[in-house]
Amino acid sequence: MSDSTVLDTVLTNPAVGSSPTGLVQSRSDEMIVNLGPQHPATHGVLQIVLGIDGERVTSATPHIGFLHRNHEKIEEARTYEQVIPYLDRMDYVSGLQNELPYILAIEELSGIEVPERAKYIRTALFELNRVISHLVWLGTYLLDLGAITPFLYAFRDRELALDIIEKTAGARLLPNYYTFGGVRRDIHPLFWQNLGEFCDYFETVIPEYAALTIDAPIFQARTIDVGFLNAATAINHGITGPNLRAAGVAHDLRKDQPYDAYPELDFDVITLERGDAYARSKVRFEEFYQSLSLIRQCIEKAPRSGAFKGKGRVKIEEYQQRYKAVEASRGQLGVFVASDGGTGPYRSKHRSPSFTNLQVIPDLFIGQKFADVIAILGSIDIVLGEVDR
Amino acid sequence: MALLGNERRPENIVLGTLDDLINLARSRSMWPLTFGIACCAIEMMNSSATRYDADRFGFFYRNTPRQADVMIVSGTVNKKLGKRLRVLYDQMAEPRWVISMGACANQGGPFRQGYSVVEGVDKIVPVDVYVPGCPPRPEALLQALLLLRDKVADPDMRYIPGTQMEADFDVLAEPGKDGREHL
Amino acid sequence: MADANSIDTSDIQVRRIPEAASVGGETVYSFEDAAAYRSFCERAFAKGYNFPNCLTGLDMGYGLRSVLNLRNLDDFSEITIWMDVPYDAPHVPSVTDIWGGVEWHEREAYDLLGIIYTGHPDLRRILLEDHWTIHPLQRRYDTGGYLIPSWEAQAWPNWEEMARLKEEEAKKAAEAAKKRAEEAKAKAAAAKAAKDAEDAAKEGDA
Repeated sequence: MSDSTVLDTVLTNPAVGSSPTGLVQSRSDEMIVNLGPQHPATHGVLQIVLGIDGERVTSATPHIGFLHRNHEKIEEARTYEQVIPYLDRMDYVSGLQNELPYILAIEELSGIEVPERAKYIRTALFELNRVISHLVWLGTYLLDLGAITPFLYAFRDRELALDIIEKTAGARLLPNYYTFGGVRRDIHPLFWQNLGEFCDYFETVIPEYAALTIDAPIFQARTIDVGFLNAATAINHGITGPNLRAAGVAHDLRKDQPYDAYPELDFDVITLERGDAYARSKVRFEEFYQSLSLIRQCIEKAPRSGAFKGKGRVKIEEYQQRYKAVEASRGQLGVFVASDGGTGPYRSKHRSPSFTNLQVIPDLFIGQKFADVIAILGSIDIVLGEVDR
Repeated sequence: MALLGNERRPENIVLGTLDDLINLARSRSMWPLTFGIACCAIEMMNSSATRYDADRFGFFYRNTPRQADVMIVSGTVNKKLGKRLRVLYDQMAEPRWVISMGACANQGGPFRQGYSVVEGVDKIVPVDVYVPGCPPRPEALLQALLLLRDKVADPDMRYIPGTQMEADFDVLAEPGKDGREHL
Repeated sequence: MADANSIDTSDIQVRRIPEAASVGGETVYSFEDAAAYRSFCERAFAKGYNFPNCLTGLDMGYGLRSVLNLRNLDDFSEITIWMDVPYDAPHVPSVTDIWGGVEWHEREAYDLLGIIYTGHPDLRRILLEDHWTIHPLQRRYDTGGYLIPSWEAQAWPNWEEMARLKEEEAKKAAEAAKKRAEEAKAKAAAAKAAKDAEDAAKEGDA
């Protein structure tokens, strides 16, 4: 397009028009802004190329794959047991949760029974990991929005939860603790007591967090009416977790396809209607209370004696496949396992919630102000290890 | 002032080189680059957060490579990220140091056998301190930072600008291909 | 109420896999014809399978297979749809326009397995770099001898078996020790007898 044609287009464009003074109000040039891969607010190595017209975002192209670690190829060359430590390293913020869908799938395929006590141990730790993960989200999201203190508070309380995991599983971040038929070793004698103490303590500090975040006027001004996601788009794009529930869809695999001890526990699916960044944050806050309630129910109902690991060996005879999903802290965490009768999985694909949730961001960004991009990206809550795998 | 004391005279006069004095000051305010890659980045955040508090040693995270002295490679570096990592390293002002955190950055870790993983970040940037562990605990990272502090202040290990290694870009190539054709 | 059995498949060529092939109980529909696959996907969407769980592919050894897993958000039933394609023409119709959520999953399957989704709006590599030529999750792709195949990998220690073996070894060692002791005793007795005989002979000489 030659220069004169461009000028003609501008002059004849009714959206541009001319000012009363007779001067042409041309649009500003579109600018390309590169966000990442080294950016403190991308939560890892994510690159987004943004097209910006004035203050508005006109295009967004995410580039991923900077943390692609060949999980799926390496797992093809491992035995069923050897795969488990790799799973921890997908969503490293809530390491234990990643192991569960794979273990449930293999247990179903080879018919391993899980003792009642192991189910409760697994469920309590699963919910504790949800608290840990949401605390990391809280700290880093507020850091993105410009508040430094909530990060320090969140990591203070996260350490207390990590101590419980370390005491019973042996490692704090990537414990490799679940195994086929239960858990790898027996719990610490004070496990249930420590969990109860943590719940009692943590319940008293949630209002403090709320005062700093969802009740604070600055936070509300940054997040309300920003990054709308409606229910139809969310379902069609496969969005799950707090992002889907904040859009008004009551879909929670803990309720809809219950696993482990969830059928015995009493809870309601949290939903909000608005579907903006504030609603997504609020759902995560409600889930703090929900997780504490679930942990308390586990403490109450769990058998105090019994086996921590069921008998049975992984034995998958012929070609079989299974898709199994659980409700992790970011949404539906699924695994597709295919077996050819060998000692390890023939193919394992991890359907990670962050990967699927991330693909909707161009829709959320376009038309929003440039300064809100970080507020929207943080409210989706992604972990790049899980996106790239 | 053992670090400066090349020669000591009475009346509290210490003779030494200006470089040593500058390096002593430099070692007490090392600014790492905020560049979280993978699992180790969570422990890196922990090390600067409440319980471990790296600030008390003068380690304060900066968001841009122009203001940073230390790059902490906290996670698996794959072939797509390797070029960006070297660009970031080149953007840092000299003198600059690198800490390789965790098994993945040291030699590839559990993902060593993958088709797109760089087997050790020291093929791309020169590494000063290696931290073992998968992931290392925050205390281990703090120890690495303190070791690096000693190295910076040591007159025998003075940083000589312009002597940095070249990256071996062949390790960033597609398996079975030459690395330089797409750079 | 959406029921997988109520999807009309009278006019398209479809193979229903018995539930034994998929322990979870979800129904599996297998296709080899692109038009039938596409038509069936549209019908499944109309029947209420509106939530895309997962789309992936796998290398079957004789060809590639695209696996689509769908969920119905009303009764939470699931169906799985297979599409088998040969290596030399791995073309599967894209279903991105029906379920937007499979867009990146299709790109990933193209990237890692080389399945070409016809009609995809933006079929580029997603995890690997654009100029790469390999599709690493295909079985014929060799990682340069690095990866040990699972059938040669050593299983993790079986503690019961190891304890049993240890006991057996201890038993064997105890038996061997006993045997050795007996042999030594016999030897000593023989030596003593020989010595006695020698002494007797000496006495006789004297």
